[in-house]
Amino acid sequence: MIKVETEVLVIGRGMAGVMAASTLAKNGVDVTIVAKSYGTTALSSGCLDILGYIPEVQGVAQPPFSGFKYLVVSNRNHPYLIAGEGDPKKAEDIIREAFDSLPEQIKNLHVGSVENNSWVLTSFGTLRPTAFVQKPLEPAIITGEKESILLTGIKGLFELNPVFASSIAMKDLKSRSLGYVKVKPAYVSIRSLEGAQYLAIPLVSTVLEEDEEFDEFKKELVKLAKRENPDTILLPSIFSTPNLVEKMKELEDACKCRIGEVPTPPESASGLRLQRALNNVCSTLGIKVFHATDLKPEVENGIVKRIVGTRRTLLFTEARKIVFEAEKYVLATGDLIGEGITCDVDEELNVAFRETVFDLPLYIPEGPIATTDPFNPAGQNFSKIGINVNSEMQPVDSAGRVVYENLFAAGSIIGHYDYNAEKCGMGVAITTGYKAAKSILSRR
Amino acid sequence: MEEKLANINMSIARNAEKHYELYRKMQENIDGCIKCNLCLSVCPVFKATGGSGYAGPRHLSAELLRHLLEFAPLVYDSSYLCTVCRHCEFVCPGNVNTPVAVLFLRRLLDSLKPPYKPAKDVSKGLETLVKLGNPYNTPPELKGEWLEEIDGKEGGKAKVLGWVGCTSSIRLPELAQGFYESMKKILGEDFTVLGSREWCCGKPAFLLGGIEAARILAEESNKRIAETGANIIVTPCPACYSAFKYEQREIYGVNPPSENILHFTEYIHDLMDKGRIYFKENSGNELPRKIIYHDPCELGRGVGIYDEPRDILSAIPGIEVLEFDDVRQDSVCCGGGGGMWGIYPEISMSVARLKVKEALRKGAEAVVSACPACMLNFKYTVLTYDLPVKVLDISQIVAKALSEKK
Ligand SMILES: Cc1cc2nc3c(=O)[nH]c(=O)nc-3n(C[C@H](O)[C@H](O)[C@H](O)COP(=O)(O)OP(=O)(O)OC[C@H]3O[C@@H](n4cnc5c(N)ncnc54)[C@H](O)[C@@H]3O)c2cc1C
Ligand code: SF4
Ligand code: SF4
Repeated sequence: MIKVETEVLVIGRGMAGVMAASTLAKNGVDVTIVAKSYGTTALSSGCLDILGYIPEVQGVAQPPFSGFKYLVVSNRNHPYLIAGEGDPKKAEDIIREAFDSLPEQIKNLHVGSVENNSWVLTSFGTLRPTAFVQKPLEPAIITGEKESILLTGIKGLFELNPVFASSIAMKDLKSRSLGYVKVKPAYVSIRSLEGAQYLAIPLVSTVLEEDEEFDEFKKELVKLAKRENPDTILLPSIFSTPNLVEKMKELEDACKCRIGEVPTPPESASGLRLQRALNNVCSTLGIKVFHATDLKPEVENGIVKRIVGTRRTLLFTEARKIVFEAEKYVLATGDLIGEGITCDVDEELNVAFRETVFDLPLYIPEGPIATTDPFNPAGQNFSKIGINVNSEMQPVDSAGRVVYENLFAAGSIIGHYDYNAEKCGMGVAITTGYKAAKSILSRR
Repeated sequence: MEEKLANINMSIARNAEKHYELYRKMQENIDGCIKCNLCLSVCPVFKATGGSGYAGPRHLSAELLRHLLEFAPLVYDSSYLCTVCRHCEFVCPGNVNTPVAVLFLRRLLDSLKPPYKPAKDVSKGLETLVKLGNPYNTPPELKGEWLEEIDGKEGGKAKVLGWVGCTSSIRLPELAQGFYESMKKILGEDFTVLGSREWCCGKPAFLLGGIEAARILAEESNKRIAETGANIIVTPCPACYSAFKYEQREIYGVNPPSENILHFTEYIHDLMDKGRIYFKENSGNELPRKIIYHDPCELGRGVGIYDEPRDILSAIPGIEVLEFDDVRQDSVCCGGGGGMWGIYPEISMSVARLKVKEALRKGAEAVVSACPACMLNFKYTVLTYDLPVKVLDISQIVAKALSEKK
């Protein structure tokens, strides 16, 4: 059995957990992270959304904070408003403060501003609003200037189908009176992957790490650029490593046009880059990260005393235990994807949602939990499932009572919002992670 | 062929009851997959095999699920294509534990002795392993040869036993010697090694699916350890460490030889903490000035030792420790573990080559690890691809840097 003592234990190593942990560590708090794996952050397209849409009123938030006037009417329980104690002005301030205190590694990865939403062309051909994109995705921002874009897929890689996506894009652009922005489909092939049985982004980026392969790829792109003479070539998100991102400049010089990535479904390079940056934040600040599963709390008199976890072995044998003892705890375990929440189905096919570590009371919206349209602009009820918190980010029960005095929460484990329909995922993670840390600091 | 496969399936079905508990757990384990591909982004073998041959954790698990009672050759052939680096397990949001699935398959292959042989047959290897007490098909008496060059002594009673491990003893004399010299400098007569009498801890057998073989080997090793009367065992090999400290009891059902099992880096770190050892300034003649530390999977993700090696290396004046892009629990496997180096060395080396290239880009003069399996893989990779970098184990560095006084 291993015993870890720390002032604050953060559960989860996604955006919310690392935001809370880094804010605490920068203020001299001894903080440790435990997580069972990567979560949604690593699977995301790595943009930092603040607020793009207000699904309840089908409104667009441009700039992001302009949406708050709808939010106070349609969803007073939104975590932003909770963090701002119900006051949209206070919410704005805390969001600004949180983004200001983002760790350098995260800031350096992105371009953008909390005061503005950019429209980014995605691998589906749709335009999506976001406040910050990673630098390699900057060319995918549709600025409104006249430009010709070559949306370029990689043969055999399904994550970007340029023919399909560019036809969607042209429709979308026309509907926004941006029909003068041209999006054309193209393909490049990577020779050594032509026969691959299982082509996936990680393979593409590994192959590109080889100098000769990269040069071949560059030649293909140059040929394409010469033929089509575009302003911008957009590829799926494939430049996983810092080395490859560095080499994108080389491609731009050779092609004499802008080269960028579009937000791409998992596993996209941009999600991995964000997770790697978060990992770097932890190692630079000396925040230890432990890996453990089956976390169970031990509680005494309304206080979390310790968390007991399991370190898995190489066969399903009696596992090794690990115990964490902290003064305060931050739950940043994400939603159904990160597995902060799971869904148990019994023999009668009844569905029950459960918060995985503390079995905290959950908010579950009324009505069907999902609609059949995955792109339903009104969002999906299951996305809104999560715990309730007070303005100090302490989990509360349905009557508003604090569940455990020394427990705080951050990120998509919190309910009452739909990151996908609203485009606010990382913004909520960053803001609530920051607020949870502030609450802990104010109690020292 | 058809008939042979039918036979295997019959024998698996007959054994199903026996394996029921495991099957059920496997099923649950694999069921969690949300097809996110995160595992593919970290799996060294998936990347090295270029998307053909090895389906990677995601697809392998899917295949396994479909063929749990009905093995297809594809699954058989994949089952030795995994370094058991556990990286996929550590990133998987769906709790899929592919290395466990792989080891389960290997175990089935060993216990069912199917008539259909997978692309690489390890059953012969397991037999000689049990007979010779090492996985390198080397006569046991040659296992202590590395001692001759440095006038080392084997055997006798001592407080601390140095467990060198097969890979160091047979393939990496420089590592074995670095370890021995460090320990001797600190402990003198209180330290001994088994040399030619050292046996195999059982780990390679376990990794190849031979649990019974692992048990036999572990018992023999423990008997030989008992002869030295040592109650502290220090080893530079994370695989042996984890076998003695955990797996012998947890998996092979054997009592470990001692409760005090330490990795070399833990031992040195402890003495450093207590102020009992000192390091001299590195002049740059004997040791490289800029090194990069590679987290061995078995030491990091396996048993959670990340800080000790870094603290030791950074404590040596005149050595700058660089880091890879991905470190600690996110460290990318060198490609050499889980029996891969023995079965598919070319794949192991093509993985390691990418890591060495990253090291070179970062300006490292040496790649330093704390695991013989990593070192072996890196060493041959550097030779094969003619890459201008030194490959060292941390024990070799400690041996050179230790100083009598402050
Ligand atoms: C495909 C996709 C793309 C997206 N793209 C964007 C985007 O571009 N921009 C944007 O702003 N938002 C995006 N989002 C939303 C955004 O990714 C999430 O809202 C955000 O990452 C949530 O962060 P988190 O830290 O709360 O949770 P997560 O990142 O899910 O982290 C949860 C952590 O907790 C750990 N954990 C969970 N349960 C346990 C347990 N029981 N025990 C121990 N550890 C546990 C997990 O292993 C993980 O480390 C996207 C979402 C998806 C699905
Ligand atoms: S990481 Fe896990 S959930 Fe994702 S594809 Fe791999 S096995 Fe499936
Ligand atoms: S343990 Fe390592 S080598 Fe094996 S499947 Fe997982 S990532 Fe690949």
